Amino acid sequence: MAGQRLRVRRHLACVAPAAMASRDFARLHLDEEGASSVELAVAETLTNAIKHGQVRGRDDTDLVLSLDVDPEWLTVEIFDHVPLVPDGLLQAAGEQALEIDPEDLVNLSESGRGLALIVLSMDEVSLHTTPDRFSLRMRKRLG
Amino acid sequence: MQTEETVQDGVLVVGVRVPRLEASNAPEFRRTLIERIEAGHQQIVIDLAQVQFIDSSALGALIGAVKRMGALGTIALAAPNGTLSRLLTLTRMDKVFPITETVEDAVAKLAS
Repeated sequence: MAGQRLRVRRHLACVAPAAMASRDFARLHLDEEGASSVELAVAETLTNAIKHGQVRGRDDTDLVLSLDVDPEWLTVEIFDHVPLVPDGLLQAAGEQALEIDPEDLVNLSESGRGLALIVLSMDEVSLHTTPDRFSLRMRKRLG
Repeated sequence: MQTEETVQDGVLVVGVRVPRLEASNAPEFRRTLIERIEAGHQQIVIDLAQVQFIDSSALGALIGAVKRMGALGTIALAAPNGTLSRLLTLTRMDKVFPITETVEDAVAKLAS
């Protein structure tokens, strides 16, 4: 099946349709759990981009979501004109970022889990830079 | 955000009646829960049976509510589907909230 390329408006209400489209695409190639993982990774990445974009006052351009598949990998890539993840954070994200102390509710953070969920949902996550844009590439192994 | 609320054996059951809890509706979800806590409900069950998707923003809303509740009472999560259950376990929320397979189980646990 051919890949898909979607433009996503920089609005939180536009995250769900893009995430569900990613899930539908992934479900053609992955089981239910794998497709749900792709949906979550896409939703977290788009949400992060939109929230940070609004903070920096750059809400005028669309994000681009591409979905592709080859015999080995399902690849999701999200493009923006600023880095989607700050330098160094991707390497630090992982299961240890989700550890909590259930006895210490006062200091339990309400935020900061998105990047760890992206990393743990996918098999490979990498940042890419071209002269005019940045992307977060997320891959799921098939089979 | 669409919810359906009932009181069973003194326990408030908040049935979430939207398929997705995510960044676009997490603030409203958080506000709804905190309003119920501030209204005096100390035993709350959140019925997730109709929820198909939760993201980290919605987890943040749940954490905001449980922090507001603190030692006053308990918030339990009921009837999450398989995807939600995996996410709740992965993010250690199973150590923060009692999680049950059914609303009835959660009500029984909180009412006892």
